[in-house]
Amino acid sequence: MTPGSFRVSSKKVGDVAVIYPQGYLNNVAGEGLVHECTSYIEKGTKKIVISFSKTELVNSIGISMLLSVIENLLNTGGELCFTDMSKMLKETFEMLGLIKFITTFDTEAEALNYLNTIVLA
Amino acid sequence: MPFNCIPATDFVNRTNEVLYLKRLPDLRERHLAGNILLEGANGSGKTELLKQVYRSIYWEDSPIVPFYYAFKTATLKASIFAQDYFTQFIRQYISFFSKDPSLVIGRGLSPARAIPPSAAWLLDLMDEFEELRKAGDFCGQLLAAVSAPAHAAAMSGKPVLIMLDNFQMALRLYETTPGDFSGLAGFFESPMKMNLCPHIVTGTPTETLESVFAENAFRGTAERMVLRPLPDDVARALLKSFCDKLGIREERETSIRFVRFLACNPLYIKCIAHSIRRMGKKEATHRDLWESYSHEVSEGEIALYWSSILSEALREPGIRRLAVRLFMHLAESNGEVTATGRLPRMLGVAEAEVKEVLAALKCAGFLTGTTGYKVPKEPVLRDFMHSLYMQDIDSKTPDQVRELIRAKYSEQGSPDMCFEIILPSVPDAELIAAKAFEQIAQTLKLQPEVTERIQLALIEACINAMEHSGSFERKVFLKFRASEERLEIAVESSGRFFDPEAVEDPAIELKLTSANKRGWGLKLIQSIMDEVRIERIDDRTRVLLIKNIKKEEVVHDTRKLQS
Ligand SMILES: Nc1ncnc2c1ncn2[C@@H]1O[C@H](COP(=O)(O)OP(=O)(O)O)[C@@H](O)[C@H]1O
Ligand SMILES: [Mg+2]
Repeated sequence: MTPGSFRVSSKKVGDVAVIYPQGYLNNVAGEGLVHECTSYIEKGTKKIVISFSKTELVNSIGISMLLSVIENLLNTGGELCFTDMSKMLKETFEMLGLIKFITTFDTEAEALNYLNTIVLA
Repeated sequence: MPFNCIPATDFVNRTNEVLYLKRLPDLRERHLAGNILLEGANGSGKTELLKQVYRSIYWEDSPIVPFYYAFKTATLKASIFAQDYFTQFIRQYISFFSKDPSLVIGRGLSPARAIPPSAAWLLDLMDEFEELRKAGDFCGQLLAAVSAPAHAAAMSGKPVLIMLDNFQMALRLYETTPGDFSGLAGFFESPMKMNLCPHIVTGTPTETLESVFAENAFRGTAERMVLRPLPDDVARALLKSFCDKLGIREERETSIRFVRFLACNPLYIKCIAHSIRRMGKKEATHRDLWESYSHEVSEGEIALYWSSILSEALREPGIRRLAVRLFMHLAESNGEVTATGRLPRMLGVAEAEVKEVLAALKCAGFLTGTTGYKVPKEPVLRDFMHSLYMQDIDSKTPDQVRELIRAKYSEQGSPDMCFEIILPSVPDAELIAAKAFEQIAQTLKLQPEVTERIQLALIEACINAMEHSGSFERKVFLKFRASEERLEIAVESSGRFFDPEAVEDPAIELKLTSANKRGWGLKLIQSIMDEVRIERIDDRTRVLLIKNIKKEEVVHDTRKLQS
């Protein structure tokens, strides 16, 4: 956890966008993440994977930003997957109820497999 | 007597409560407040708070007339109660205008002679009451007595702040013989509805106090004020100030541990300080404190305090002995006992008797429990009952009892690890706190997963402090205190008080579509820590994060740490 070390990177795999928030997911980083997701959604992407493999910590503000992403994607009828969560992160999402709106997988590959099998309107 | 209170400056950490209660008549008039149900453990300072409010209003040039009444066992017969209540009110009312406290105490001239001409209607009130008394009309007397303050307020236009102490006893008001309880507390209903007469009602135990309300319509009109235990450093400062006055030296860490054991209860702290002095000590070391404690809880003021409550609840000594045995049985079984089950057979008494004693113990605050019966966690009460058991049932001598209690606490334990840091209120400063904690976690050998969670709780508490306090100081004060079994982190900031009751539990469905998606911090903290206390200390807000460290949360094997 180094302050200011946040970056967000992403890639496109077919019709799926994979996003990697890195470091400490707080307000600044969260906004970066929302921005990144929004630009994909605006371009018509409906399937998004957020991989937490490079995320060190998510605070409550980061959580509220993730909610924004969920809202945006649900509004367009899209599908969101979370992968590579630490045990604590997963438990946190479960406790707060976020888990209801997303599908979780251990790895990015599993999420991609799943998204490839579904057809969105 | 409302006047025998401690100097205002000695009454620590309740400034906000005093101010709020003094403003009650004003708030009530503007429909911003109702009546107050003042709750708090035995000895937490409820009576003292009322008296402080009383004195402060009394000596101010205030349009509010204070009236304090404490229910007493001796005056629970309706006609006697009515007479007492009425007389007390008249005396206090007149005394307020003449600023002559001796009128309240009942010395000095007869109160009637001190009535100012503007309040001549008081004489009519007194005459009417006398008529009812002569006629033996107890209902009329009761009604006249409890509505006297409302009557006075209506006549003078001056609000009367009514403070009713030990109100749980109102349940026991009787007509002709004790026990013919007939819901006489209901007579308070109508004065409580009067806007000019805000009521502050208090007593213990909370469950019994609340049950007075459950049986009457005035339940909905009351708002709750809870006197929580003092924060531990304030409690220690209180012990120190008693010690200072008595010329006794004490040491911070030892005192803090000790007052914590006493649940930071002001009554116990005061009793201990007096007892140390009586023992002729010049110092309050670990040993001295526990020595005086073992004396206090078995035969000192603390014992006296609880004994009187016990004999009030159970008058018959034989029944009291049964109560002590029952209590100790329950103390040994963990959790709540719902069915009396084998208890009657084990103790060789009838089931009905067991049930009756259990109910009486619960009503007096010796037992708690929602559906069944459970011994409260507080160790002082347990030790008191234990020493009664040793004396009355095991026939131990007072010396033996004291020694046995003292021996229980002779281990001093290793000293706590303590340190403080001050964070500037700048972006990401919470990470510094998390980093600092990592160091402590290593010393405590906490599992990495446990460490991580606590770090998150700490980060959230820091963010809250920086965001919500709105302080000019722009600093967050952190105090860490850790022992092998327990970790405490205090996160303090000045500025606006942050009231946890006012924080709604966020609902994910609502948050999802709401513009404000924030507000998860407190919920996260609460899910991680064993206890989260929010305390107000003068102008600072302290969020206290407490975690009891379990064996499985510690790395025992060094190999595990590396993997
Ligand atoms: N905040 C406080 N500061 C100093 N002394 C206190 C404080 N609260 C209570 N006390 C003292 O503790 C004792 C018990 O308080 P009391 O008001 O009788 O408790 P309660 O009515 O809640 O049972 C009293 O002697 C009181 O003066
Ligand atoms: Mg009291």
